[in-house]
Amino acid sequence: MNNISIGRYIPYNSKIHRLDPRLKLFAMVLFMVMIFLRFGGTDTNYMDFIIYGIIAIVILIIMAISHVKLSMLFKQLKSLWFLVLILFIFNLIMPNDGPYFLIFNTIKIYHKAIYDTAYIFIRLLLMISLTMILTSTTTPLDLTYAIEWYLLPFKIIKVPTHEIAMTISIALRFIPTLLDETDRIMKAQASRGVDFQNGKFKEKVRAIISLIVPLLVSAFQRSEELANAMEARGYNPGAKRTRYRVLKWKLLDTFALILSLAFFGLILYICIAKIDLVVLITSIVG
Amino acid sequence: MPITFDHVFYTYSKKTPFEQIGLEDINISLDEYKFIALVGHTGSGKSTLAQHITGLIIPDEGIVHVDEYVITPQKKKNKSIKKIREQVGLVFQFPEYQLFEETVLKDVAFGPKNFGASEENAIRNAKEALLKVGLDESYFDRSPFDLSGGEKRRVAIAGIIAVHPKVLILDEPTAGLDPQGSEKMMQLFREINANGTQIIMVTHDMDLVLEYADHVIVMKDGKVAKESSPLELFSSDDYQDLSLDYPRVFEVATELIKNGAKINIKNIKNIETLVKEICKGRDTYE
Repeated sequence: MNNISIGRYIPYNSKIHRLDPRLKLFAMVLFMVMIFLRFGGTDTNYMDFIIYGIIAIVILIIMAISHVKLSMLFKQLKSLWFLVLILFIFNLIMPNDGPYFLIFNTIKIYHKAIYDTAYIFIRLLLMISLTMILTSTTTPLDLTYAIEWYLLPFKIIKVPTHEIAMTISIALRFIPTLLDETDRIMKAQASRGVDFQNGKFKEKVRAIISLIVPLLVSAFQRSEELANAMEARGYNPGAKRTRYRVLKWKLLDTFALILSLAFFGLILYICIAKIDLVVLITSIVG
Repeated sequence: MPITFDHVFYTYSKKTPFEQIGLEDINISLDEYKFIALVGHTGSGKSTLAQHITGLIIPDEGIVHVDEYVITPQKKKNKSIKKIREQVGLVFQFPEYQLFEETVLKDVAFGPKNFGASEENAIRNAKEALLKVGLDESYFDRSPFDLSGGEKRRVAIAGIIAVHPKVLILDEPTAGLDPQGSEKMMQLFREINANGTQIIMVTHDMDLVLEYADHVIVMKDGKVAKESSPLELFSSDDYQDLSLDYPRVFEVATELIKNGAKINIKNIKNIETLVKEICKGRDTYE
């Protein structure tokens, strides 16, 4: 239970940690768009991989600056291999044409099936590493501030932006608390003889019930206590309020914004102009 | 029951930035004592130690022997953990959070059933345990969620007792109870102890240690700082270095001795025995 470190904030004081959360959120969206672009012509599909390689290098550099370790990424991959397997099987079944090779002289494996699986897997990998960088360098609270800031324009059409941000931040705040609670209840029931790992289906259902009921009871209790505490301190959702921690845009943020926009522009240009980097480089060298 | 720790090490969240020492080189033997108190500051490792005995935490290094069973870092060897849990009952802090069944009786019978008792036996054990903790027939069919805090805790403790453990581990059993409630609770444990169940109690209350325990283990920073009888512990010169409180009765008695009262500190366990000693001292004056 103590291994749940996925998406958890890791307190370091790197340049990435100090960036404005609004910028980090925006940059992540830019990177996501880049990952979803298609590059090169229809017959030159190696271009995708070249661009993904470039993006991966940039992500690796960001990871190095922000003290996010590759080993953490690999830990998450452990739960991903099953998904990759399913992807591969689906791609095998899908009707394909083009070049293929045979296994056991019976099963046709098209090159395209392997290509598609690798393609989706790399996309997933890049996206996971991006979100990992965001969540491990940004506190949940900062993230909600950023979300609230982006929601501000919707205030004109009477969207309760503050309430939404408040709800998100409370939810995020209570994730570790509920995980601790889960751990505690699981241990308490385990000492009453509940086996959460083994057992028949019926026993497993009972085990889960013995966990979920107390967890729900305590979650409701907590939320009531929290609501009472907030009310006792005069919380009014509609009130105008200032903030203890104000987001400040710094020079470093501007620099990072320009950098990520420039990178995005470059990749976008390569995509739209359908530039083949291999052809380009050989023509320059030759 | 023989319980021994042999060079046990444990670290929380190993190899992450959240790494924290749990236990460091623990070597203890809890065989000949009937009532053991585990004391120490918050985070000193006393609860971690208690959870090692029932295999809720598996050590990183070293071996825990419980009766003829072992708990080792090699997970494959730990096949008898369920048997250990049947012999060693663990009552967590605020155990009322583990209740989940529709009726009190069903909840208490949950433990015995998990350890393989037949429906009839489980119900019989549950009734017996409930009467032992002082809840009569009128409680059996009530929902555990409708009870008061103290009653809920009694039900939860009955749920552990119903399994008939040979060793009972109690983690802060009186936390959050009013003085009268905790007095009653300790009375209950005294009876269980007198009937031959070994008790290991994690506590902050030094008065309880003086009154009940025949052996104290002081934990500090994941290590065993001191191991002795309560009286030896409280009268030792380096006790203050452990930055723990003195029992109030003990403080009064030492103050009286300093001022010339003839009191044998060895006889003092609680207020009653203190008063008896004072009277005896007065009689010898006259």
